[in-house]
Amino acid sequence: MKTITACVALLAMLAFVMPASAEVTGKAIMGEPAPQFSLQDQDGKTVSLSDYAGKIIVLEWVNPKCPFVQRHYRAKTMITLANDYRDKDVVWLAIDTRHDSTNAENKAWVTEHHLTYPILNDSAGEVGKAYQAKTTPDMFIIGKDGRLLYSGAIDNDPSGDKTADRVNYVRQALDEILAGRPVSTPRTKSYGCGVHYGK
Amino acid sequence: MARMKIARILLLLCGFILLLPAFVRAGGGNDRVRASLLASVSSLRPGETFQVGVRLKIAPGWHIYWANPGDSGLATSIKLDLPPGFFTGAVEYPIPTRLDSPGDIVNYIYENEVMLMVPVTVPKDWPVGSPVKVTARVAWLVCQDVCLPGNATLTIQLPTSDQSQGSVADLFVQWNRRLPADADPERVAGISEQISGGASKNQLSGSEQIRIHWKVAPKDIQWFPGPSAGLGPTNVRITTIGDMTTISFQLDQAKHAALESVLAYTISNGTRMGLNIRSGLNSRSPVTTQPG
Repeated sequence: MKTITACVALLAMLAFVMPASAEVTGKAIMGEPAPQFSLQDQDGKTVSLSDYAGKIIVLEWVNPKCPFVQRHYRAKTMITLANDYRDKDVVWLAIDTRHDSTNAENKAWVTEHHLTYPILNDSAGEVGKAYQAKTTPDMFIIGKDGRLLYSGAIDNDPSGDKTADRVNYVRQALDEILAGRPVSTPRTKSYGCGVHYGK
Repeated sequence: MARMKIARILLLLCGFILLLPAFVRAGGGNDRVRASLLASVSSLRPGETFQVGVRLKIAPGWHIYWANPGDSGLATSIKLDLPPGFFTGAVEYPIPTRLDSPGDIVNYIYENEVMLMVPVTVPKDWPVGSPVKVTARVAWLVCQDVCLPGNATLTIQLPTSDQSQGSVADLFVQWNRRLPADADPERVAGISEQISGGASKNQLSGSEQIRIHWKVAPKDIQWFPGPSAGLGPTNVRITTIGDMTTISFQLDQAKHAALESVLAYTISNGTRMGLNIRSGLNSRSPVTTQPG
């Protein structure tokens, strides 16, 4: 009886210490159904990919402390895209896979930048690993049928010093998807800070 | 109770400070790296090729990146400003080291100190003794847990009567030794390559194998793929059996072009060596052989 109580107590403690499970299914493969997941946003509300079935979904890996992310947020790259395509049935979800991230910090980031999309807490790293997200930013676009259509960089300008020849791959892909055309550049190498997975 | 309130206020303040835009903390990347500009000669001779060196001292525990930073980061870059007629070659990067991080994130980095070099050729009609100002604009990303961008604009004048030219010459000798070589006939018997194309359901992909035939296999063999326009090699596997190292990987065939890479290895006296390998070459033939 004592052993059972000790086990239950230990399991209860573990449940308290371990980050909430993301309930992720599958691995991200281009053209295949994208991994489903459920995560909490900065307000603690549960957000599931399946909530948006039938819509085009953009996933943005974010880290407020990363200089690449900070540069894009100063330039309003992501918020402009999210707002430009909102009424075209495009849903924007930001995901924070830092093992030590907090909802409070993300809430402050949402407020500071007047974000119209949530930041989902993936501190357990499961969604990041399912999508093989390696950098912040790292961008994924899921089509209306749930298949992965784009994976890679936000644009072709890691240093941020291109002018006339800068291509925003996400905008380009969204325009092609909405026009019913195949994505011409479905896969690019993302750039940014490394995602801070836990050990 | 008052202490809890103060603690909470302090925590909130910390949060706000952390979220201040990066330009407020722009000095960070410049604080962690000290850059200096050196030349391998003290005066210029017409038609001669010399080297400009950018010496970077990195704070302990932090790192900057190789020509291909790997899965994340940003390559350390140098742009030289010289008078018309001077020819500048590609930046020469010493052999990097490999950093593995959780989430299968692989980076190619430098720690503590590195000197990047650029070959410069003086015009044939350069008036002897004529002064020249060399300006280098250097940019890096220095990371530990956080990443900080940094940059420096450095100038030197040539000719120079700098008294420390002796130790500067030593630096160039030391760092030139750490550049990968184009051949290693003492240790490499030959290099062969096999390319096969394939089409899977979703994309065209090519598989490549580079085989290094050793005279005597060295230790700690690592492979560093260079920068590429597309995705770069994926599913990289390196195995050494006996006197043969096989590097196999997949490369996006649509963007199949020559891939430059560096093979690093440690020889019997403990010296770390590097070998430049050029593969791919748009060839569909099964085997291309180059001498060691």
